[in-house]
Amino acid sequence: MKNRVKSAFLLVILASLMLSACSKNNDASPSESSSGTSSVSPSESGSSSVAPSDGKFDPPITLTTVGTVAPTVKYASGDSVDNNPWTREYEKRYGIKLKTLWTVDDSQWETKTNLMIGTGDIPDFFKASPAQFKQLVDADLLADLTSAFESAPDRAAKILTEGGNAALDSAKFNGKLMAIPFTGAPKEGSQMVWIRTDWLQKLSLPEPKTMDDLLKIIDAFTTQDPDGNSKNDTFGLAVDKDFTTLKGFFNGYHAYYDIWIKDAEGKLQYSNIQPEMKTALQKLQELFKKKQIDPEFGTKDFSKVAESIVSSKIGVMFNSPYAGLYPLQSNVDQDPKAEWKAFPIVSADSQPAKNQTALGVLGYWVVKKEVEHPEALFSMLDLWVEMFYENKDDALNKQFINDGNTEIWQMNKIAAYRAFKNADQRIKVTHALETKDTSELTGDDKGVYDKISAFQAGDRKLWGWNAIFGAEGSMGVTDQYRKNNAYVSDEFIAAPLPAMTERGADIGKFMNERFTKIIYGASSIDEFDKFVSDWKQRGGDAITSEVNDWFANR
Amino acid sequence: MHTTRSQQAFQIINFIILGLLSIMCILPLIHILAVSFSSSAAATGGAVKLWPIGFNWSSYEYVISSNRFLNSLGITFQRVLLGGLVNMILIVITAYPLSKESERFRPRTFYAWFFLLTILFSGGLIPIFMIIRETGIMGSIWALVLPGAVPVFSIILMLNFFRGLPRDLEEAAFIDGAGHLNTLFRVYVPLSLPALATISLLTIVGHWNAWFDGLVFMNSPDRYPLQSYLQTIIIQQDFTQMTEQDIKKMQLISDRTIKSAQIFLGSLPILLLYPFLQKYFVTGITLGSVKE
Amino acid sequence: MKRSTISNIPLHLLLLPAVIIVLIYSYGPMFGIVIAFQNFIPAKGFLESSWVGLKHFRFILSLSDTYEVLGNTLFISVMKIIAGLVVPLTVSLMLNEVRQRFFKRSVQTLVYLPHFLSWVILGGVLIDILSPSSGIVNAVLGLFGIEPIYFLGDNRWFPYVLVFSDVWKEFGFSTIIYLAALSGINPALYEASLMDGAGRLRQTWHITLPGMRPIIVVLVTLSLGNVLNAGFEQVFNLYSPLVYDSGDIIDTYVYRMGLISAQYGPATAIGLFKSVISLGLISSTYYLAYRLANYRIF
Repeated sequence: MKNRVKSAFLLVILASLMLSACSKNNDASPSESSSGTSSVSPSESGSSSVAPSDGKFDPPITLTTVGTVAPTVKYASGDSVDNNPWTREYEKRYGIKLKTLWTVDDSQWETKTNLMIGTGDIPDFFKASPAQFKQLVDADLLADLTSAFESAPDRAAKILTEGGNAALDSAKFNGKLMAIPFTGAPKEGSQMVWIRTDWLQKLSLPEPKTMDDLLKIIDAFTTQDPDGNSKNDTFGLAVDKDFTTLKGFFNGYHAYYDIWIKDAEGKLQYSNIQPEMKTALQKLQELFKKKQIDPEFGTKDFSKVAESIVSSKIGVMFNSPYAGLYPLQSNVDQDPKAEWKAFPIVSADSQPAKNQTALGVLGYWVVKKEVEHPEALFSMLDLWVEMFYENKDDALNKQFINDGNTEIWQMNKIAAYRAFKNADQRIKVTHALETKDTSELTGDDKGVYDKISAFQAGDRKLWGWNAIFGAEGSMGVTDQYRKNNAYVSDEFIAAPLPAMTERGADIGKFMNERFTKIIYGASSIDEFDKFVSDWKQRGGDAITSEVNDWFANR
Repeated sequence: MHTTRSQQAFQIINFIILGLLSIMCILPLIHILAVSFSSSAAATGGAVKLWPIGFNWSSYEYVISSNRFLNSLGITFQRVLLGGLVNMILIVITAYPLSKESERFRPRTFYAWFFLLTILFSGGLIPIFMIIRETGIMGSIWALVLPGAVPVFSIILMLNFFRGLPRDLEEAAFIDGAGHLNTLFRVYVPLSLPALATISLLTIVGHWNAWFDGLVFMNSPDRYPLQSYLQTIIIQQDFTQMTEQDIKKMQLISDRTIKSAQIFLGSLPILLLYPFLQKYFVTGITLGSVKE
Repeated sequence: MKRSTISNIPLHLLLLPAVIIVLIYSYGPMFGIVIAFQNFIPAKGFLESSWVGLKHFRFILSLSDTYEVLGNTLFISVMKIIAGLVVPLTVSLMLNEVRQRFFKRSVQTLVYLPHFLSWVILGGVLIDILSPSSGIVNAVLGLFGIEPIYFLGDNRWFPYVLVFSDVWKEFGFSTIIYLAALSGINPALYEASLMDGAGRLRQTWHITLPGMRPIIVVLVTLSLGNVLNAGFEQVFNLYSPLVYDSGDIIDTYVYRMGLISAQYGPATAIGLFKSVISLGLISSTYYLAYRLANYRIF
């Protein structure tokens, strides 16, 4: 037996030797299917390239990358991932050719890029996750983009700092900019409270101004048969097993879910162990006891909760301003009476409630160290901002954004989002709807304008667009948050630290379990104090000190 | 044959139990079928149980007109044909030597463990990915065929079936001057049709249902086999961090009627194959008389 | 000694293709096992990542939940192995008694159906039918005056739901293998015993089951290799914080570990640990079968 195992291991070693020999051969003559990045190294083709004052490389340079393909994108005949309106424009304008080594469905992006990095074969540039970004920096594989950023076109530079400096800061190591952050819109996505207004009217309840008002609404939606079917089959508040629909509720009690906040001494503390969380959980326990929350919430993820909402069983949901499109639109389709409206989150006391926001960087565009012209990325980003956010010409819009058949804008090779694009869009669109003057609208704005016009003409299939971008739309609430700067930001904006990685799964598991049990009433609320001490002991203290070390040395 | 009262009673009870069992097994598929024919709003609300609400064909029209579904179906057919063929050949030629007695073929035990260890130990995804890239098959149909070309589980089943065949037949073949190859293909294979049918079914179903390798080893979503493609539309969204783009995507792909139509169409070909292969399962009984 | 006149070389040649493929695609990647002993950082690769010895193994054993998770895994998978043996065997024997060919074929096809549906889909269906408030199962139980049971949220029930639903999804698959084995039993044996006046039950006991013994032993032995795999996809789609106590298994635990950030080291260490245990179990079964029944499984 032992001998057999031994011989098996001998074979392993033999095989790996064989393979390393194979791989050397492969390097010498890279076959098309194994598409090694080395075959199209930019340093070869671009070594003599210079970027003249107009920013065009001559001869053109080639950059390799990898990407995702959205299910909504269809290429025109003859076009492909490396030959489409965007890539043609990159080449025409900047002399940048692109070669996409592979594409993958969104859902597998993380797996596939991890494999790519793990097998030591990264392209000239691609979008890395925070953890991957950190690893690549540590392994010294990335180009320093500091000087490229300094000379970057204004538009491209500005979009990166529009939502504050945090995004750009998170991409810096020792003062050097090592990536272009793919900025998202975390503040714009802050939760608000969506309420069935047809139910409100039916029960003649006022719009909520305080948490007490909201709790009364939740109670009435549970007990007063808002759907009028004479059955006690509705719940007040939507809750899912991962607590994604509770952030706004917690924020109403000045509690914050799973972020790092500054305490009075300027130290970072984990939000879930603060006393405010206890108060909020206690309230949820009460709501559960009074059957205002679905007793099966503990086993339902958001898509399952969405089913209850669509079938008109729930009337209050904390969610993002985008929820009008999903799942609320389906409810409106299904139930001709249904009407929802978004309200700002409400506070349980005299202090106004603030929304928690995360860093909201969707990834980091990283450039391989050997790439000679990292500034090319900023040129491409500039084209993105121009076409996606600033262009008002209809023909260009059809060419680069949406031709009515497919979302051409998704063919871009590098993008970043503006922090409040949709909130700004609502202001412009509602103004245009009042004045009927569409001259100031970009192509994307015009699309929204047309959808709301169609809704006003009676097309309920487009209800969701009005619920978001209309005069009374959710983006108005977002705008209000922005004006009041009603945010509490997650202060921890780096890739996970070692203790976090090591203890995270363990801690996350028992936290979820304890919180759920408290809400179910299976544990008394005093269990919360035990949870806090367990959390600290099981690694929470180690994580806290690690986070504070990071914070002090930033 | 005489049937007594108790035998009759047994037949009836047997009939009922098996009938109930079948109904239990078919319910989820009926549910999916009902959803696929329902109106989108009713399906999203979870109202559809076993009968369509708001009957319509539109989801099927959509699926039939969508390139990606048909395209991935084509890739799956390729994979099943090529992969199934490679698997079956390797199963037969590998199981035959392993079915010999150790006294006759000394190294068989070593070979058996050599193959068995591969189902127990795995180096993980990263090295497999590397090997596939280094052997130059990344992105091609061979990346879905070669790594699983030696299905050890099926080989073990096959070798046990081979062992069940009477020894005399083999002896007779050798006396007639047939070599190992002739014996295998002229004597063993024709006598093992039920086993071969069963194992081909397992093999084909295995290739049909495999999805993870397609997602990882293909270089572009238009090359995904059917189940990989289906996985991308039924995968659960991470709702903890939804961006505006995710919501828009959800709105597009959350249409349960279309998902259900694709799931149903995706299992249809293999369901049709089953009764066809089943024909061979029965032949074993008639062949039994040859034995002894 | 006619046997020895037949050379063994063709036998080696027949094995050669499989040996080569297995060497490249199965043994080749096994060098990745070193990750279990490394602080593996993908960007650095296998050669430059630092060595940490048994640190990952110690780490896993130090986690407070390791033993609970291990217990859950063993309980669930052993139940599944037993139920996964008894149910398909019984069904194939019952099917064998059916005379109506059409009915027999239909049942065979239908019981195989759930195998084609993924756990993501079945998970959604199960949440519906097991719901305490609106599910059909509780509605039926209600007819007998039984209080609604929260199957998916109650630690007392959850492991059995896993076992039951797994058997329901997969028993058709093994039934087919058993049926094929049944078809290989010589009908002459049945005729002979009929002459002796044996009833169906005795025939089953004395002819059918012994005839199927080899295949049963093989399937059970191989399933022992899975004793630490309690079914990731199934558990992942059905469990929730409410039933972590009884439903969290090794694979879901490792998955959550990986979710926070790719923890290759501990994950590979757990994989290696599982492989070694499985190897031990399979080897001892193999040895026992050989010693006690003089039967080589493979």
